[in-house]
Amino acid sequence: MNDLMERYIYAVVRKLPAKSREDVSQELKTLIEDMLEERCGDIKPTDHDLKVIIAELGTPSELAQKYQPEGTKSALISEPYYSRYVFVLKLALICVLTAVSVGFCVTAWKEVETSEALPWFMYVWNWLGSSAAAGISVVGIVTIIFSVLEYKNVSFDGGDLSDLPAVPKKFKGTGKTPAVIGIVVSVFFTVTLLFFPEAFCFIVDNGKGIFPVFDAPYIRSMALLIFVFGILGVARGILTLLDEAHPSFILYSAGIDVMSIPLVVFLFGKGEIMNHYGIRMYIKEVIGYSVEADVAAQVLCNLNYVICGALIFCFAVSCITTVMKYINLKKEK
Amino acid sequence: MDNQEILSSMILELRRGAIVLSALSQLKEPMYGYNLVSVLSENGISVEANTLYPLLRRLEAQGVLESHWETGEAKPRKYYSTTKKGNEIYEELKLRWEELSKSVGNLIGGNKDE
Repeated sequence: MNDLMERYIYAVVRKLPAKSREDVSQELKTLIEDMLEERCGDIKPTDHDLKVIIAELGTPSELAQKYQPEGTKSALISEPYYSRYVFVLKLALICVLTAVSVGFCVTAWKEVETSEALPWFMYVWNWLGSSAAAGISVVGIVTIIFSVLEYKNVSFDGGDLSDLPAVPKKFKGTGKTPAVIGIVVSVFFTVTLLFFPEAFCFIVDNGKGIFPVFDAPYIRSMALLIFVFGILGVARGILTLLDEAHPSFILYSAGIDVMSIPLVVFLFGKGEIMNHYGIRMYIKEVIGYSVEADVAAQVLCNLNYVICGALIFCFAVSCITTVMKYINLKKEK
Repeated sequence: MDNQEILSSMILELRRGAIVLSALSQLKEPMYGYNLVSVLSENGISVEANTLYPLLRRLEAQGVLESHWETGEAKPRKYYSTTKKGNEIYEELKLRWEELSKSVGNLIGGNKDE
């Protein structure tokens, strides 16, 4: 019974500002004990009694909402969505700006090396313009996603008390790391691949020779596919962030893993994605002309199949472990 | 929206201010949340704990109430009481309530006479 009470209180207070959590948590605990005492008197309360009291107090989201300052409900994105919105937005902005900055550095470096350099202020201007455009796009996409969640009133609590999250040993560190890494990697690689495909390159002689691995025109022709792939990656991360409160989201993550596999095959399953000319030039620079060089070039030109296989393997493993996690969760209940 | 829903919404609006005034009237002496729920209920002002507890915290954040934890009892309890500012606000609020109550009473009474 105590476990259910602790989980309920935790589910309420984790939606509140960190500074008030401990205080509200202690006060709610005493309140529930008082209500149980009034309901049961000298008889030992049961789980059923506790569930009745919890039903009187409302779902964690409803109770947390009452603790929010008045008026927040009329916002486009209010609690419990707002805190998650801010978190995802910060994360996505950091990723995009980092990816744009790295991409610009590589592009500028390459142009300086090949004597195609523009005046420095043009780079700064271009960087500012691209950062602003990318930032606005990210804000727009994340805002639309969370507005839809708010509009559809997607519950993060679930209707079942058994869906309440487990109380972590400490309130800090609720297992966000895999989700954060997923979002960072998805955004970083999507932006880099879309806008700076040349960033994936072989460099020889300290930058005197730069040989892109991927074929830029082909990558651009697949822009929509790459964009969808990135969106799926971010969506998977968001679902992972929420699955602690809503275990059924675990299955959606597995669904995204399955959907990602054909995209990987479309994207990396064709040899056209590799920059065959650039790779052969790189091999020529490094090894010269020989049978071994031909073999090495052949291996590198088929690197896309290795990437394809590795990604399919990762998605398959992720899908299987996710489904197993869900089955184990259901068994525990 | 049917009549019952409209009525519930109006009663909710009507009660909101009354609950604040009632709570402040009892908090000249320190009192913990659930005790206040019981006292109000005994006096005909039924208010749910999930409404009163957040309200007490909001009033505390506004400086109307102050609180302290009593850990000497069987359970640790948070006691609330009005601050000096809270007392001033309560006195003013009480006057306004009496004026409003009298005016509304006159209006309602007037309507009855018609």
